[in-house]
Amino acid sequence: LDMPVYNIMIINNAGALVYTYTDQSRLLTSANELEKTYSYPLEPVIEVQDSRCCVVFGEADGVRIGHCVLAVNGTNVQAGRPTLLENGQEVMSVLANPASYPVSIKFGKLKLTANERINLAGMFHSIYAITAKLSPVAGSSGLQLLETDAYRLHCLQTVTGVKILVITDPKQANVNQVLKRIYEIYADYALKNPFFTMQGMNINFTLFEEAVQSMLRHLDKFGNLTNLAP
Amino acid sequence: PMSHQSNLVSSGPMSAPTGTGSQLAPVTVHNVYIFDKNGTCLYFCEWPSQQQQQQQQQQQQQKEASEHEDRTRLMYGLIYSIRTLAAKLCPVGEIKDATYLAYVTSQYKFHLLDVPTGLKIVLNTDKSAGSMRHQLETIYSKIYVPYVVLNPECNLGDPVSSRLFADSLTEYLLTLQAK
Repeated sequence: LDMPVYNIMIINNAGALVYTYTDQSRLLTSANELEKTYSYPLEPVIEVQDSRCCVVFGEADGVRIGHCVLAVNGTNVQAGRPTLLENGQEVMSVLANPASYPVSIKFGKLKLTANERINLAGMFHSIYAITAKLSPVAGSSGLQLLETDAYRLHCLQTVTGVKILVITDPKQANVNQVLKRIYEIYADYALKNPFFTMQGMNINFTLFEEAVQSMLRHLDKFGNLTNLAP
Repeated sequence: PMSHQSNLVSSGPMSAPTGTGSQLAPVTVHNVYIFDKNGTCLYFCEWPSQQQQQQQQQQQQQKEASEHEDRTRLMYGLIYSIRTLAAKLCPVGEIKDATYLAYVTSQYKFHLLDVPTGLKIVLNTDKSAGSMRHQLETIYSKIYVPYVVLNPECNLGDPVSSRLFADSLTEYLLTLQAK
């Protein structure tokens, strides 16, 4: 029953991200990394996009467009600033310098930073409104389910405008139960908490986290939430 | 253009495919958009339901042109944002060539096929439609490529004005709604 919940996010009615949970153990980032050695001039064209170095042209041998540079000649990129290596050098200058060759580059997918998550939540908030507006039929809600090949994103918009997002494996069933349960947990441990304010504050309460973890363990074990103890 | 045909799934005649069972169920198509990689709307066609036709007749039709312009710009903005969002949120990082993406709301389902050349084909159907990836790929390889790309009169990047293309697209979409 290894069909994980990859991510949970809660967006408040102003579009700000107030809670995020990432399943660290299942991030298969290492499985998608590959290391290649190149001689001058560099075959894949690498440019700086979104403040990280990505391949934009020249796919070959498994290196695809969108792959980011994770390490050059064994030195990893800095966590906060992926255009710089840990030794302080700029990735683009090392790659432009013929003296660094032959160079071995590790490609892969960079993890999302906290800032990026906040931006994506805001983007989702707008997308939700646009999808409702662009409906060919009158009276539509915003998007409730986004399907791709690799994952599914489920969204529950509550009557107050708070959106609960869950990213799961495409084959995961019973996600409506999960969304409903997260809403219950939010109502019990965040809204009823006297220290919780609505001004875009991050939800950081022990009981909230524990309830979410307990729900995820139950989901892992049984595949659904029908017998979840209150 | 010719080499793209071999990459995509080739189907037989232009009727609904005999793939998975859910594809044989009739699908109501609301509208179709085709955008090029710069965001120009190359083609748009809609098939409003009976209720909507009555509503439209009652409303003013003078502002249709600018409203359509706004709508297509909003649609392209949505396509761009949703692709960025979908790529960034991907937890296991598989980046593919011709990507298919769909979302469902309470009233309709939106399907997007992103072709390697940057062309984007959008289909809005009713909620119960299954995956329309195969159908969108058929529209690209069996209708768009032969009637537009291989047509010496059609300049890529200009809105499609070929009646042959419009007719064969409508015919294909009607086969999806029949059955």
